[in-house]
Amino acid sequence: MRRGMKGMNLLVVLLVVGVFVVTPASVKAFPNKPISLVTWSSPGGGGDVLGRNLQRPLSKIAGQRVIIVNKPGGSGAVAMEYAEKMKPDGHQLLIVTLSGIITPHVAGTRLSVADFKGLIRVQLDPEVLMVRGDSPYKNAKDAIEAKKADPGGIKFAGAFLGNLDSLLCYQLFKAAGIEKYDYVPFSGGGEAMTALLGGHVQVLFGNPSEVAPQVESGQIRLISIATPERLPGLPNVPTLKEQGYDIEGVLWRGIVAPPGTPDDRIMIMNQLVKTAMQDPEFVKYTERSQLSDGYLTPEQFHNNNQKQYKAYGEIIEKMGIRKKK
Amino acid sequence: MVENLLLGFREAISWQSLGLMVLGSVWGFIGGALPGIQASTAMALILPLTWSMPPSGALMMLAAIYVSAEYSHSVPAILIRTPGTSAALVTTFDGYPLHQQGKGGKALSISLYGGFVGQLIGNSLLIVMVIPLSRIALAFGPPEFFALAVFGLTLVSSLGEKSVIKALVSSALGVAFATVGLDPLSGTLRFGFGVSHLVDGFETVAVLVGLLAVSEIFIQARDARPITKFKGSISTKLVTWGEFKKLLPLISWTSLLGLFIGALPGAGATIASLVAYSEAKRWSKHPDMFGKGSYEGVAAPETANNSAISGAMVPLLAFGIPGSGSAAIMIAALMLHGVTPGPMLFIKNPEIVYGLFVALFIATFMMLAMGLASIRPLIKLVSVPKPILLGCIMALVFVGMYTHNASLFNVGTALAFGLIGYLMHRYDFSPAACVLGFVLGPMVEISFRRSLIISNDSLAVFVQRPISLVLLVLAALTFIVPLIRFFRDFMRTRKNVSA
Repeated sequence: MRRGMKGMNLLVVLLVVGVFVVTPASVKAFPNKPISLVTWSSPGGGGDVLGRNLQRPLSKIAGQRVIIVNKPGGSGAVAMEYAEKMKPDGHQLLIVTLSGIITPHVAGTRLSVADFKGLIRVQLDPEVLMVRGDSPYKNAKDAIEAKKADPGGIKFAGAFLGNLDSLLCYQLFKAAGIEKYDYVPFSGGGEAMTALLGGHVQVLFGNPSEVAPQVESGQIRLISIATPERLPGLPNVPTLKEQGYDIEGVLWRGIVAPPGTPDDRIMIMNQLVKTAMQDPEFVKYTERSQLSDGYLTPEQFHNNNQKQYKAYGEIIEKMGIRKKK
Repeated sequence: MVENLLLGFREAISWQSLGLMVLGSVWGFIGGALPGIQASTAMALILPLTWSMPPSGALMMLAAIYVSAEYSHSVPAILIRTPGTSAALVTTFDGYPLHQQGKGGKALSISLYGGFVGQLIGNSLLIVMVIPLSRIALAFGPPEFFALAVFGLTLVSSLGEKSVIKALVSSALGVAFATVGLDPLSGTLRFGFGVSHLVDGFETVAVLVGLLAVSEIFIQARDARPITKFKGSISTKLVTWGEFKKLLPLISWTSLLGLFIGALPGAGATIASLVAYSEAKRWSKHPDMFGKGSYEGVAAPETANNSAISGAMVPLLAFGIPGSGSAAIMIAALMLHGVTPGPMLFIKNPEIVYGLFVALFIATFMMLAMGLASIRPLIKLVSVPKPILLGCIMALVFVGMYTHNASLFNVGTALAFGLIGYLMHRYDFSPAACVLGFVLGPMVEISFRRSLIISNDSLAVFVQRPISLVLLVLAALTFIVPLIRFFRDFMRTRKNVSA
């Protein structure tokens, strides 16, 4: 009798499972499983915060759970190795940033963002130059002139060498004709900012999202921005272009899919994320973090990544810190 | 100010806030007591859950985790000599000998009361001195950080139980291990061997737990007879008021030390506890007792690493800059809620700032209650048969290592360094000195090179700046005095032998 019951149970289970297995894919459209967004940020890092802000609107729109998976380590290399082996069914995606294009050149790791399929570019975090609130420099030109007059006394700083900050500084020095590249690299944004506030360095590269509170309180002033046009949110910050330095640098964040993911699924996902980006909560997060909408279609994003991979490879080559052949 | 504090009280004294803080305290206590889970890891694990809480509630819970984890990490350090965090490293030097002498209860209660008083002093000064403290933090540029790290590193010369030379070699080995990974100043990958996990170097926690905790498990496993009961007397006696009263002056000034060092971004609880330990030894009337079970040797570091929490709040509140890994998580929690930490917080969200101040006090009392309730059961717990205890700790270490980054690579790293630590111990090298080298080496190297970029390659910068000069002189003294003592004893024994 007991054995019979067990058999019955098994039968029921098999039937139920069978129904799901034989149901044609067209009935339950994509996405039909929880969506996981892998990020190489630790909890609280840029990519992680983007993921968690997308989580609610995206799961509402897609009708599926959205899970954030943190895979920090190896400057993104660990997450990329992991993402390369994910099932390419459109449910498993990787949140990426420009650093995943640059760092592989410097560290010589195998994979870069350009090895994945572009899905959507979400946001832009522009690069700015900043000084202490009481500094006499009003724009990048002032700071450059001061540096030329006193090369040893005025120091430009930012994140570690090989980061976008350092590349931008290199390009700016080249454009301005400053011979010695004595950029001061810091390991974390906090250390660099303390050094600026303490007057140990005079000009700092960074992103406005990191310094919004210090700018608001007047401790720090933005003096130039590396975007092609002035930003609506920062109308008084002149671009580097206006001052005669033809240099651009924007840190972007987006989502890519593992190689082999079908194009139609990438397109569907692109539309879902695009809709989620219009959610009022998400828009509010973008605004208060001084970020801007950086939407690109899968194709545009993919081309952008290929192009930037090449372009940044060349800059890093010139700087003499290239590792990858 | 008083008005704002009342506002803070209103924010903190609600069922919801208190409930969250109790949860935080309990989780922080458990997390901190598990080897391999640091305060920042315990907080990071909870972070995604704070999404649905009000920002001040989230911050209070994180503060409670932070406070109780900075005490409870001393539990494994004292009872089984397996510190799970670098901040508890020096606590093992005297805590474990005390436990072996049957004074585990005294060691744990000194750590608890010291941390309690340190935290109270730290919090009180924090409230009135955020701005002056933040000025001190700003005075520390790369040359000062270099000098501070050198100062911390000189403690190595007093670590050699058997041989100063071997301790120096051990710390050099630690410095060498720390060179693995991407060099932030030249952008070069050093000793990566094509392993993607090594691009950022070895995970500090994994190295630390391997060298100190896993190696200790190996050693104790070697010595354990099958199913032996803990021999020797188990005493759960706490420290008496008379004994504690004598430690109060030490506790007072080490709380100040912890507060100041905690306020420097990037220095944190580890350096606070190291410097407190070495200074306590320097000024002690019984420096010979250090390393053999000195009460002062437990009180100093454990006070300093608790008051360093208050210190870490200074850059967070004054500039919105994380002063420690744990403070970074607190900033992340605020950012998730759209609250940007920094100076404007005092004006725009005083309820959050003052709520945090009050919460730090409440969390300190919760830590005390939890500590008092747990000392006796914990001491009983570690007197279970060794094989069972060691097996359990090993399992916890694996879980802790895996949780840290959700990667098995860390588990492997901890095991490998466990083996290295075991061999070092076997041949009288010091795993503790190795950890010190590993933690401080990169800070010495990078702030040295960074200083030179700023000074246009002039070494004079280290002696021209007063703070850096004073620290370097202190470092030289700390380093040389034990060496002189060592050679004097060495000569004396030689003379006796020849005579």
